Amino acid sequence: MRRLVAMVAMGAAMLALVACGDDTAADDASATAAGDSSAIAGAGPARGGSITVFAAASLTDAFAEVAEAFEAANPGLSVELNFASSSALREQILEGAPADVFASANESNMAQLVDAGEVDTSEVFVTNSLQIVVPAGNPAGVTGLDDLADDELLIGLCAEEVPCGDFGRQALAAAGVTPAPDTNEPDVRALLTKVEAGELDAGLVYVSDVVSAGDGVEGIDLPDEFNVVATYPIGTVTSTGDADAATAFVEFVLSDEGQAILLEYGFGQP
Amino acid sequence: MNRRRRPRGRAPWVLLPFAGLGVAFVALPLVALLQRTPWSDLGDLLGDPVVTDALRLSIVSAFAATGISLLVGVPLAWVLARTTFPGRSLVRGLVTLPMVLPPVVGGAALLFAFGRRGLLGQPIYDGTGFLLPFSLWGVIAANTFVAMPFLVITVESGLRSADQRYEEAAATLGASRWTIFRRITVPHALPALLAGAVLCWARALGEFGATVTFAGNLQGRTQTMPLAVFLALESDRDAAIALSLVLVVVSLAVLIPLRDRWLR
Amino acid sequence: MLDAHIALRLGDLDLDVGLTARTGEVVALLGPNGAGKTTIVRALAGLVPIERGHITLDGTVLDDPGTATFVPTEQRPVGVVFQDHLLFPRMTARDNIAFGLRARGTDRAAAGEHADHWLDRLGLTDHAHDRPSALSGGQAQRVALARALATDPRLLLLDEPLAALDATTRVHVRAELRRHLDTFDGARILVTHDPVDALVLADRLVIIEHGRITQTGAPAAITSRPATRYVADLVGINLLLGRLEGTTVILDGGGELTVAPTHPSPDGQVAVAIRPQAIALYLREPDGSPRNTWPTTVAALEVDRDRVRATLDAPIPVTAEITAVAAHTLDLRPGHPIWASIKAVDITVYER
Repeated sequence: MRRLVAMVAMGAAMLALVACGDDTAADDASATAAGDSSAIAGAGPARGGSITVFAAASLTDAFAEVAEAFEAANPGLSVELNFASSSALREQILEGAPADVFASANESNMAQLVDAGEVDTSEVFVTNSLQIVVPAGNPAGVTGLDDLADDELLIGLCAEEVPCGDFGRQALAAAGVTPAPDTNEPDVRALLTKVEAGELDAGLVYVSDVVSAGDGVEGIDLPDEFNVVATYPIGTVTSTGDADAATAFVEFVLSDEGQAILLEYGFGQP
Repeated sequence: MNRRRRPRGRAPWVLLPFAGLGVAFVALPLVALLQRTPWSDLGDLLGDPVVTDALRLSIVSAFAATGISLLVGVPLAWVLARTTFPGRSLVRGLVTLPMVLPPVVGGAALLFAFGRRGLLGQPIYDGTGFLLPFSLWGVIAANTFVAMPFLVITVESGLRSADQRYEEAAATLGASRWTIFRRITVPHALPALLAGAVLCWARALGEFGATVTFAGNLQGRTQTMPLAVFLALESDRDAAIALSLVLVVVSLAVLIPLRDRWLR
Repeated sequence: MLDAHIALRLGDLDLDVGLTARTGEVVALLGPNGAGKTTIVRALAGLVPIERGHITLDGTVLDDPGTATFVPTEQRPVGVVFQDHLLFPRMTARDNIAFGLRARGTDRAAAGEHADHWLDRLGLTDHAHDRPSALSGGQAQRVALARALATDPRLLLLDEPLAALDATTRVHVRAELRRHLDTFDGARILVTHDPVDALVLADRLVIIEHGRITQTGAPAAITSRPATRYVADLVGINLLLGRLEGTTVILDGGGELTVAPTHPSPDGQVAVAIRPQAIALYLREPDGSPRNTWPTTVAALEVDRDRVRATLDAPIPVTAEITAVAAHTLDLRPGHPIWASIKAVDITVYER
């Protein structure tokens, strides 16, 4: 009997923890909002409600800060973020997932949604280019793209089906390198984590990913002639429940404040 | 003469609608899958090496994981069911942990233990150059990690409810503990063993999160069916459906012939 | 030769018995449920360790807590026939019988031959390849016996071997069992709660009640002089306890009986045994020689074909047995007043 009570208590505690997680984010936002009464770029009249933003995995850290800043500037509005590979998100939206804004890591996914009528118009808000990522200290002594063809090393690429993988292979093809990957990760974040942990000797990811991983990894530049510039489009989803709020978010991303945050995270200007 | 035909077993009527609901809930997604299957393109899709590679890897790793689970899990189940030692509840909790752990977390934990920089993986790699991640053995390890608890729990329950008097009778006839285990305990526990093995096999076949996190994803080496389906969904939905169908057919082909006579 | 002193505590049971069995002797352990009979068998087989005492078989110590000696079950030359026969359900009769030999290292062919020999001896050759579920109760019990004997044990234990059989089968199997037991030359201990089993099969009875031995001896001796209520009830005799003074027994439960002078005549605690048939019943106070005559009421009636057993109320609660015709003539009914009488010479008195 006591064990049953203990289990129920633990379960309730876990539920409370999960529920509280969401609440504290909102509390933080409203706390900062109370102190900010001066006009900030992108700030508008106080609105209520929440919007859901589907964003490519590579935007994880950057958009978290963007969302916080947006909530601070728009007290009463909260932003729910959903990160996954752009293609997965595209599928979800096509199947009717409730998104208000979509930020993709490549044009192709956005184009498919535009064709399907899920998105009206989109605009490129940042660019990203590729970089070779190695664990801190570069233990395998990787110097360039050629090393990604080395059988002896443990190399990770993004899966072909996701934008990062598509671009990566384009860059390798341009350099005439046939890669010997040991894994094609479905998720660029997963790839990054494995490199950071030292389980892989090198990976091909975005510059923004290298920045967000901080001291845990090092980046090795690609020669400009081989590098690919990925353009990231953002657009509001036509089936959004709150078009005004969605548009406000997009505008915030495109604003100076939004752009400043994104550049910090290694993205390039559009 | 009006004889009402009753279903065998004399189930109370009130259970039937709930049972029906259960069947419908499980059957509906399958029906939806069948409805979207590109029947005309199926041949081409299934001939793709992606499909055959993934299927081969899935089946090989599922059977290997089940084999290892039997070898390690049955003795473990026996110890949990028949012996008492301090900390037994803790051990049982540990053994069932992979069942409740999110598979990705399991995969990450495996990486921390057996990866190149892992607790055990690093000394082994430094000494022998052997590495579990990014190899078929990594897939098998991930599958075993998530699937073995199912076997242990099922077999333990079967052993617990077994009639130990037969084992006592065998002892009076002079049988050593190993002989008793081999000729009495295991044969009597066969239904539980089989049920546990099937559960384990099925879980291993469908495993995704731990596999991709620990073993990675490479066609022909570590890309199992669930991984292939996941990636195909992002680019080629028809291929994804075809792959899913194959997985369903293979699973049914194994599960249906297992008549409930054997599982009892 | 078995020499054992078994003392242990198991749940509510506090067992302390001394037991011997000579080679060639059949000892029956008789007692009510919960008395500890099965526990004794399990202790002898090594399935339960004793806390105090010792178990020695043919000079070898099997269990002795004092010297921390304990021979595990599989190494004891003890064969057990279990109450529910416990034949291995997935093996044929032949394989069951061969099991003990194969477990001890005999190769399959030799063990099979030995099993065939036993099947023949017990008349089971036709059922050699049957599974236990296909055997009748009696056949299964014979297979169980063969299985236990096939390993050539020095001590054979039978735990309620006939309990699972129906009444008619029991009679046959009991007779056969006697014959088969006679061919075994080791010590044999039989546990039963059925006195007829004990009387038919055993050379010596050991009565066990509440974990202690209350009486032991040849069947005839025990039935003629039961020491406890349990045994008396078993053999269908009236047993009363009291104190003898001269030729009067003052009963513990109240009342007095005049008895014939016994030689020697010990004054003191005695047990008084009266056969039900020796009690006569009258509607009115009889006028005659019996020294013991008293009024009482009928407590209960039990009809058994052409006999009626009437249990009488206090002060002297005994059961009288009369013919059905007599009962009808007396119009016996529970609650009816009646006179009972017993001749002093029909009362057996013995020391306790």
